[in-house]
Formats: sequence, C-alpha cells, structure tokens
Amino acid sequence: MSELFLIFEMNGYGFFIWSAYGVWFVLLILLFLKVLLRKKEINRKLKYLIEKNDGFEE
Amino acid sequence: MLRKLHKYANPNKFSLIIMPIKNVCLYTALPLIAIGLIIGLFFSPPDYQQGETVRIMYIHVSSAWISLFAYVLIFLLSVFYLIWKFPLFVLMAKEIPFVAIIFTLITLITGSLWGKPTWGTYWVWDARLTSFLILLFIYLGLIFIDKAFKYNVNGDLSFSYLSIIGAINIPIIKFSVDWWNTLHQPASVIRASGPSINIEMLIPLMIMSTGVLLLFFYLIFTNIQSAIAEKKILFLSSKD
Amino acid sequence: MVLKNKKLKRFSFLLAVFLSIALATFFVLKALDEKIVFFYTPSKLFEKEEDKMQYIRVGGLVKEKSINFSDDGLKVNFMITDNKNTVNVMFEGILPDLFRENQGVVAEGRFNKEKKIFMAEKVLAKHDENYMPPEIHKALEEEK
Repeated sequence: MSELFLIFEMNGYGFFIWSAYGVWFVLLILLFLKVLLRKKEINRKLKYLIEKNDGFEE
Repeated sequence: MLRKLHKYANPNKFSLIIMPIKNVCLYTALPLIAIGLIIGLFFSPPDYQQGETVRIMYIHVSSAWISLFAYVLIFLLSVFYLIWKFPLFVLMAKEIPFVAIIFTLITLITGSLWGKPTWGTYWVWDARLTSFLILLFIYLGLIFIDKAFKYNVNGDLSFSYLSIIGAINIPIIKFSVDWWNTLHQPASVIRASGPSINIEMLIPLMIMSTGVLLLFFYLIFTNIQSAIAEKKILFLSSKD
Repeated sequence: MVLKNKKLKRFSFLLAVFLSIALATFFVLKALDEKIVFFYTPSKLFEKEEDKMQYIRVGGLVKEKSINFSDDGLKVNFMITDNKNTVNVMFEGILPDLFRENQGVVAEGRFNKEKKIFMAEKVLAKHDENYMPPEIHKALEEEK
C-alpha cells in the first residue's frame, strides 16, 4: 500500500505530474466527444434529408 | 498527373477513401498512447536534474509537435488551394484549427505545470512561450474566420491568406530558443547534432508522439467527412 | 510538374506575399531584439550604461562554491557567471528546487552599480537540453 502511494506521490511532484496528465486526458476526451457528436448529428440530418428526397442522392 | 488527382478531388469519393485509413489510425493510436503512458509514467527513469517532473515531457512535447505540424498542414493546404483552386483543399484545411488549438492549449497548460517545479514559475514572457501563445491566438483567428464566413468563397480566401500570414510564426517558435536568450531550454530532439535525450526517455516520447499524431489524423479525417456531409446537406436542403 | 501560366502567376503572388511578410517580421524582430532577450549575461550587464536601477534579468551559471546562506538561512548570496564575468547576487526568498552549483539560473531584480551587487527579487532555474537518468549522469561525471 505504501509502495503504491510512493509511485503516485512522484517524489513530491505528484501534484504537477498528475494535474498535467489529467488536463491532457480531459481535453483530449472532450475533443474526441465533440468530433464524434458532430459526425453523429450531421449523419442524422443527412439521412433525414435523403429520405425526404425519396432516397435521391446526387 | 493532375488529371488523375482530379478523380480524388471529388468529395464523396474522398470521403470513402479516407474511411479505412481513418480507422487504422484510431486503432493504432490507442494502443500506442496506452503503451506510451505506461512507460512514460512508470517505467522510464527520472531525469538527473529534474527528477520525476520530466514525465510531463512526454505529453508536453508530443502536443507541441502536433500543434506545429498541424499549422504546417494548414499552410500547405491553403497554398495548394490558392494555386489550384480545388475546394477540397480548403475544406480540409478548415477542419484542422479546432483540433490543433486543443493541442496548443494542452502544450501551454502542461508546460506551465512543468515550469513551476523546475523553473520556479508558471509563466514568463520569454520568446518561446510568447510565440507559442501567439500560435494559440492565430488558431483562434482561423476558427473565427471560418465561423464568420461559413459556406462563402470569401471565407475560403480569407482563411487561406490568414493562414499564410500566420505561418511566419512557425519558424519563430522553432528557432526562438536559438535566436534569443530564453528561459525555455533549446531543442533536444530535432537538432543538427542529434537528440540529446537518453534513449530510455526518447523511446516513450516517440511512442507517445506517434500515437498522438495518429489520433490527430483520426480526428481530422472524421471532421473532414463531417464537413463533406455538411456540404451535401446544404445542397439537398437548397433544392427544396 | 509544370505549372501552367495562370498557376505560376498565383504562385509568384503568394511567394511575394509571404516574402514581404517575412521581411517585415524580420525587421520588427531586429528592432525589438533588446526587448525580446529574456535575460542579460553578466558581461552584457556591465556593458549596459543607461538606467542603472532598471528592473532587469541576469542569467548564467551559479558559480562553484559561491553560495552562502545568512545565519538565519533566509538570505542567500551567490555569484552568476558566464565564464567571463561574474556578478554578485543577493536574494531573500524561496529558491527553486533546481538551484545548485553550476546550474543555469535567471535572477530578476535591480543592479546596484556602486556596490556591484545585483539585488534579486526572484530567482528562476534554467535546465539544459540534456535529458538522462541519474546513473548515466554519474557515470559521465566519473569519466571526466
């Protein structure tokens, strides 16, 4: 247990290292979600429009 | 040669072509990032000067490289667009700034969290840090131009020209540490006399950078597909 | 790939745009050179004549065996060197973890020319571009 704690403490620099990795992770996840949600929304709209146009594409 | 390329300049075909590449990118990126994280956080050695804080380098430097590389891509696509006038070039270029600005933000925040324990300050106005902050504002400018002139050929032109003007900042960022005295240390990897990083630290950095680069391509390709679909929506709804 | 006439024209135009911006930026940076530099070396500091008590930064290596703490341990006195000139620095406050002999540092404060003492209000550590595990650094030092 104390050994595990030592790894996370990072010789006293744990705060800086873990916050840096935390910020990195959160921002990348948010970016990933934003990109995927945009794609989903657009595909939904496109499907609706194509159906409205009797399946006519191009 | 250009005739042949014309076939691929068709957005719908292009969208289909990048589909498999995109997925390969994602499914290679995720394991690479996971391996990079594990080695970087737990198995790489501490630095002789900085101790454990050197672990921030793996995410800081890889994000910084992506931020710069993304700009070079935007610049080249804009130049191609202005010369050959294929709309696909500028469509692709316009999808990059939003993804790139997140990497720039990560670089600035992780750099600041690295600076406090090593330099003794979160922020200083030295040439490297300031020019990198300017890169963030250039990306912001490109995003706003794209938003302001959505679906307008003037927007395409303004975007391309702004990206060419802003490109002058890229060599300034790269060489700021050599041209002026800065608090930021000089380049360690991409330099004339070879890397000055020990191999045990260079390996996780390279794994991480490759992983993040592939993730970047996945995000850009997905956005390009979305943008192509958006154009189609515009076309279909204008018929009503 | 041969560029057709129209494309060659567009290309030359872009090149002209880019070169003129590069040239303008070059002159602006050249003019601001003094301001962009983050710190002065001790030699540069002695050369500077104007504004004796201006708030500036001086950087270099901490000279070996030059660090002296006051009896109460709050004040510290050390020398910054660029291997040509050295400047005496007085500082009261918290030093960064990386502060040690032969380490690159940047001191922010005012230079008292009469007493030849740099009164620092802040001390920042610089680290170099070399990254290596402690064992390898030890081995390298022993080889010397």
